[in-house]
Amino acid sequence: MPLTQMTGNLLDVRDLSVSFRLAGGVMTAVDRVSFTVKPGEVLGIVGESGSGKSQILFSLMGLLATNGRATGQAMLQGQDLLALSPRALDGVRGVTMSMIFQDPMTSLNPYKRVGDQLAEGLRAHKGLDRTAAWQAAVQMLDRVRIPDAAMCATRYPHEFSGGMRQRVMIAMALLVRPALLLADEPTTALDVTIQAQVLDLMADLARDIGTAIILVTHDLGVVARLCDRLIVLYGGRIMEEGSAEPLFAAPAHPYSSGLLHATPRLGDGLTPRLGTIPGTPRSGGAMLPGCPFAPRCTVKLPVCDTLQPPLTAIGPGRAAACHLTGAA
Amino acid sequence: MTLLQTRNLDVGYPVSGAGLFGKSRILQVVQDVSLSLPPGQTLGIVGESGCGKSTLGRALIRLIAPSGGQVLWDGADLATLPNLRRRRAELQIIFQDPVAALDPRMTLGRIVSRPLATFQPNLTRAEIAARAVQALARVGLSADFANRYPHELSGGQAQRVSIARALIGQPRLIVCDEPVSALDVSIQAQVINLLMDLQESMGLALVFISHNLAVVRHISHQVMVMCLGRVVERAPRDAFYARPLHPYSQALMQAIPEPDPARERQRRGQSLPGELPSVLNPPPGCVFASRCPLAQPRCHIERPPLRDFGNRQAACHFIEV
Repeated sequence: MPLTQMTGNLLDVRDLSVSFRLAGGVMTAVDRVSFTVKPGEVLGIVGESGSGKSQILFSLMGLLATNGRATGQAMLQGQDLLALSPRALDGVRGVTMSMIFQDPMTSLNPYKRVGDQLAEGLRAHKGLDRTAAWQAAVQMLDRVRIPDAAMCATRYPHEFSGGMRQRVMIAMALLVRPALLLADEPTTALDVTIQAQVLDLMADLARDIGTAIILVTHDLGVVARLCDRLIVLYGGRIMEEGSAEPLFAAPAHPYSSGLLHATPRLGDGLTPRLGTIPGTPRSGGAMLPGCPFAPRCTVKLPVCDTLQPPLTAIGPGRAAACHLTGAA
Repeated sequence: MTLLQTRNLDVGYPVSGAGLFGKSRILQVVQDVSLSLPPGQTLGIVGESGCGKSTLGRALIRLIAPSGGQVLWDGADLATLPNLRRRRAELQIIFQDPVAALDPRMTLGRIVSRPLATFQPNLTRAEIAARAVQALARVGLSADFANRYPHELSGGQAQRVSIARALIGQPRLIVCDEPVSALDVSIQAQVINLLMDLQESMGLALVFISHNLAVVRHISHQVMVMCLGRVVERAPRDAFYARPLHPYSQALMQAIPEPDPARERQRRGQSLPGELPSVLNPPPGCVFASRCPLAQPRCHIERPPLRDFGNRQAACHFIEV
């Protein structure tokens, strides 16, 4: 894997675009997005509905809907995921890269015992025999703190609570010790105290196994708990990226700043009203010539409607796509 | 002065028993809830899934008949209130999924003004149309929305239409059942601010049901925490957030991830293990005993009563003031 060694990156995504053929024309969901993930790093991708955040993950996994098309490059350990044949992609999915989804119930097979579902991946991808795979599955269930794992492995998904199902999904995804875990809103469907458990579990396992995570979420609190670095996405484009702490402390893009102010917190003094972003998130339609956030931006300049601001470095590891920060 | 009050309210659903011919029994989803809400104020009801908060919200306006206790509206028992159908103009509700709450085949003007057919059947068509436009304006939607259909709306706009429909009968109370959970963060803030503005201008009382303690803090005057159908803590907002008394309230507070990486880093690894018991099989003692870091043998046997601590209440054996 010369490329990985050369750049020190596990995943290198260049100019990724995702578009969908619809009755009315082509809808671009993701527009020339580039980012990297280092081994063991936890990257958050934050955005509201329609930002294209989930489509980035789906395109990496080759799971786009049939009318969807991804262009660009996504190098994972020297292989371009977007150029692989479905057959070759099968050698990557569930081996070096796996994914967990928002709704654990619809992601598990209701007709199969949980232990068999876990063991299946090991038998298919790692060539383990039935007994060894089952034992590894039970061990992993124990790792994700399923009580009485040996007994629970013989049960079916409907016998598990939502939090336990999501832990089963995590166990399944990490059983093959992937280098990269893609997580699409993994805790959105869970209660807060269970969400806290699952986030802790993901952080522990990522550290122990050395798995890098791309976490897609709308919740800035979840990003703050788990992520080293984050990308703020709007209308299919990167608005801002940087390390979590400096970005939360001083967001450079009006959208990141608006999102942070609109999130109610426990820690702050109360303001009479929450900060808001006027208007509604972009839903479909053609790409605008200017900044996708311009229609909702309260500090926009005339140029924002006509010219897309490039993503420009504004500090070590920090970049923002805004005409205002560029000028400053 | 009290607008809405409950006295030892129980709400249950009949469930079928074990086996084909098993005897059906009543599953108590809300138990022994007493609360009071003055006009123009907000009561925040917080809890995790299955705690009974939505069932309580529906029982408060008698969309479900309680199995025990009373709901008093303006001092009168809601169960025996004459002409409740007409009086419902005063007690309205909005739901979590704003799109599912709107009939896809009706125009928004018709949806919003539909309650008037019951509340004020003598209005002329022109009056009804004018009232619909007025209600839409109140929630920040222009008059041309009256001719559109629900599928043309974003989630935030659909929730505004639900609010407009609740407002059209001049209500004094709106029960808001997770009204912003399905909305994007930026839209969530718009809807919360709208509810607070309407409360101020119309003197509305709100029951705000949510799983999100940070949102509840913003909008509520008093807060009630529920766990497995029971109230475990009730307090004025500022006192509650300054120092939640019940270990479950503290656990909820601790579990909420906040957009503050430095603070979150410290909280990592501190999540509370275990899960709450099932509603189908509630424990004999304290509802939180199985997960409580402070639990003693006594907590598993003896249910702690809701005790008064100054102007607040909590149900724990070990709180001292």
